[in-house]
Amino acid sequence: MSKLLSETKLNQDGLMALSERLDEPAWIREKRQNAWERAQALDLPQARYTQLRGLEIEKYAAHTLHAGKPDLSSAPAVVSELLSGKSNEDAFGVQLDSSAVQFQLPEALRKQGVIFCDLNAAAREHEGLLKKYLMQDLFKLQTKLHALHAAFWSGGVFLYVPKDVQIEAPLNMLFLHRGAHAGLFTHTVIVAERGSKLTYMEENYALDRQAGALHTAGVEVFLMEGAKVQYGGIQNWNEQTYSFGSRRARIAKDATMDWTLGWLGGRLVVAQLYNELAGPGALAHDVQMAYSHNKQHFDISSNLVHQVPDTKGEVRVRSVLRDRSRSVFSGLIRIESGAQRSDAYQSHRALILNDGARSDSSPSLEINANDVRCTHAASASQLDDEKLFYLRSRGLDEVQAKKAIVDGFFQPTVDNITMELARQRLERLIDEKWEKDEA
Amino acid sequence: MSELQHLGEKKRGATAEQEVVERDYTPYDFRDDIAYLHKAAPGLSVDIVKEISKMKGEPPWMLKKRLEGLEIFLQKPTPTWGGDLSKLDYDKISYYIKPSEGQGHTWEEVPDKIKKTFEKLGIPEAERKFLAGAGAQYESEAIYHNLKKEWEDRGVIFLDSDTGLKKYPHIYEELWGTVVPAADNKYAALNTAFWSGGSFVYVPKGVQVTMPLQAYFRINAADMGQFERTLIILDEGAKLHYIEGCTAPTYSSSSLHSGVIEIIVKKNASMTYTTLQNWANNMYNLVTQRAIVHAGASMSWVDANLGSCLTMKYPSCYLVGEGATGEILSVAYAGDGQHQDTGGKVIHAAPNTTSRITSKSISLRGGRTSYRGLVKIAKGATGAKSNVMCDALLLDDHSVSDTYPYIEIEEDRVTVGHEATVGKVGEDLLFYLRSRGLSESEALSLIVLGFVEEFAKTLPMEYALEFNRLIQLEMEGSVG
Repeated sequence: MSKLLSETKLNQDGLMALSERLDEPAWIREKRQNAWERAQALDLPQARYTQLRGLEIEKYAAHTLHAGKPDLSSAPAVVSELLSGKSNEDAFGVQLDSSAVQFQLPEALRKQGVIFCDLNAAAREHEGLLKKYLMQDLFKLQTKLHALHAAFWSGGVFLYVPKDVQIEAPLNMLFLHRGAHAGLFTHTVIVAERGSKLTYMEENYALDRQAGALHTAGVEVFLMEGAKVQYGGIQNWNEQTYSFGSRRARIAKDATMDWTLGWLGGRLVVAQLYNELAGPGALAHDVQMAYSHNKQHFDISSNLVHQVPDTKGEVRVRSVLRDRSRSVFSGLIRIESGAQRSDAYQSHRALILNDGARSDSSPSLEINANDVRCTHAASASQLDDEKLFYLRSRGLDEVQAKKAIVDGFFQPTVDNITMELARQRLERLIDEKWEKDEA
Repeated sequence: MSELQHLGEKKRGATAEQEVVERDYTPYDFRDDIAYLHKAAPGLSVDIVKEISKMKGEPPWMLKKRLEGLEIFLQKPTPTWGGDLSKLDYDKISYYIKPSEGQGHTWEEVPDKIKKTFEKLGIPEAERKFLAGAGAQYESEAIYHNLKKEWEDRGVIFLDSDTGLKKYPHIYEELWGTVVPAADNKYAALNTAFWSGGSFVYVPKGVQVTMPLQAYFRINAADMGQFERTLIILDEGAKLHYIEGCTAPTYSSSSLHSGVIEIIVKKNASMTYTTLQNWANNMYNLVTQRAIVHAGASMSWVDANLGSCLTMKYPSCYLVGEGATGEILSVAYAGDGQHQDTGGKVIHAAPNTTSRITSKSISLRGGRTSYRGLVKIAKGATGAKSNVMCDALLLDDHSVSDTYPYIEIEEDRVTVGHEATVGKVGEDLLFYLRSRGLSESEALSLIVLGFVEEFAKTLPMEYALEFNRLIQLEMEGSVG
């Protein structure tokens, strides 16, 4: 059983207490302090379609510390299965609220120089390496929430894969939320050195369906020449939780970044993704799926920044909406001056299951070079009565027929998922949520 | 979102630094020395608004609207999206110029000096040959209006706005400013305060005007704002094609054109409004065009923007009756020092409404085109269908093309699609044309004309010729 040890608040005192407790190097403490000062000057994000009315930042704890093993009695089945199914051969980490509770890396990988630990541990044990990457020039303090994240981050992940090391099996990270008004400021730094390969899967679950949390996710992925990274992210917080994510990858020459993200939980979710295509031959591939119900609000944005010639990016996002939920998609393809022969594709498709749901979409292009191929598309469609009728005439009941149409809608996106584990998990969680909705 | 804004700001900064290089306007670059009867003192003030209203002999309610407009204009912040408006100096603009007393009814009565300007643009010929009427606006006052007798007999009204207000005060009091209220945006408010000229058109029930009506606007004086205000009403089952074309001589200091066009298309009526905008390269063109489209009616905006240093213009259709149709065809051409921020807006507010937006843009020599559009399906607009297509052509590697579509859907029984492509002129196509004996600039202009053909096809013959001529002129010297 875990026991709540302490909570610190999102203020100057809380910041000092946190930094002292974590016993950090001076440069990290300084970064936190600077970010806190920036936070005072910055406003909350203001987006065209997403208002943050009702978000009371003061309500949330900056840091929550538990003692002992997490109580999993009320955990969703998938979490218990994940935890009980791990062997010594698996690389995985578990974080409960603000702090890491478990990290495991197989000896074989450790011997090859792979690092996989929580970020606070990395600050102690791999300070020199971490300093090169942690919140240097990739992560941006654009709004108050980004700055608060940079001031109060804790736990999180540092994953480093040395040159030419190729890891086939996924490294798994489980972020669990339990405490009421908990603040989770998870920051992940992934460095894939030249010619390396890795697959990382991050899953977010709430152990309690009621206690709300404030979650900010910062992710920085650095891909050196020829590196390949697959990143899977599943978000299934409870529906009292506000979740804000800023995920960025810098992709060097001939490197490939592959994102698969699934959005199921949360009350209000703002998820921003940025891919910087920084070397010729760089490739970014982004697949995202969202299924919202009740009054959930998902605001997803995906941005491709083509900085140099001969780069390629593909973004595919599909959303299914029911009840009074809302989906917002904003995407940007930016081709910088001189980035000739850039090839970019971006699409957002929404399926609206009933009256009352709302979808807003804004796929944008900013093109500063002429020898490029850029296309984007957005569409919204409804549950087709004719298709429903056809399926029912073939013997499916209405619930089955509807599900078949939803599955069919997601299928082209599912086909684009290259990461098997992420595909399986997404399909399972969508099915589970759907069954509850139809029950 | 803030990242997008951040990028936008960076770019705006870059645009601001670009020097506004004057384009070769030889065929249109002429300036007349006219003794103006009246020129209002530059700058914005309540007194000028009162003076304009008094000189025009307007009813008190109009003065009230003008003053409200001024108030709103002063309160509203300058938009931070779209183009760079920081160089626009409101105090340097003259808000009203009346070039001569009264109005000419036939061409012969129009003063010689002014007539020459139009002759260079070929207006009288155009009218003689083809057009139903010509409302030519020189400076702020409509000079010349003529509507062919047969339309007059059928009850079609085609007047300048000032005369319209005098002759039909009840229509004005009831409808003016209802389609585009002063509070809609900063420049609609400015127009409300200082409007002068523009057209008033009424087409009675069932009357189909088969030949286009045209109004030609020109700006002659430097630092002079032109705030034309047009109100068009199509009664049930009526049909009209209205053409507005602009050219202006090149001047060194910036000038402002901020028009408001209000259109009401009643049940089963059909309206096409064509704009051929070719202001001089130092002009700010900030226009609000909107149509309310009732059941079974159709509205079509055909909008070509070639001139100005900055155009911000998004013709819109409010589809308020069942089965209404809206169509927007936008063509933008941006060369050196130009930013065309154009597009369209369709609000589906009734069942089974359909819309189509087609945008074609060409950027060259460092020019920037931005498509900015909104499709909104409001609650209750079941069975709405909308399709948006954007094609951009970039002719060199230092020009810019942006696409900012917004799609808002509050209803489930709808079909909405958006597609955009950006490309360059194919090497093989260019090679083929050159192998057939065309010079590179001839080949390029042929390709560009092919790209915008869909637009040229909607124009009457003379306009299509003029448009093609303009494109060819623009393309000359674009190689290298």
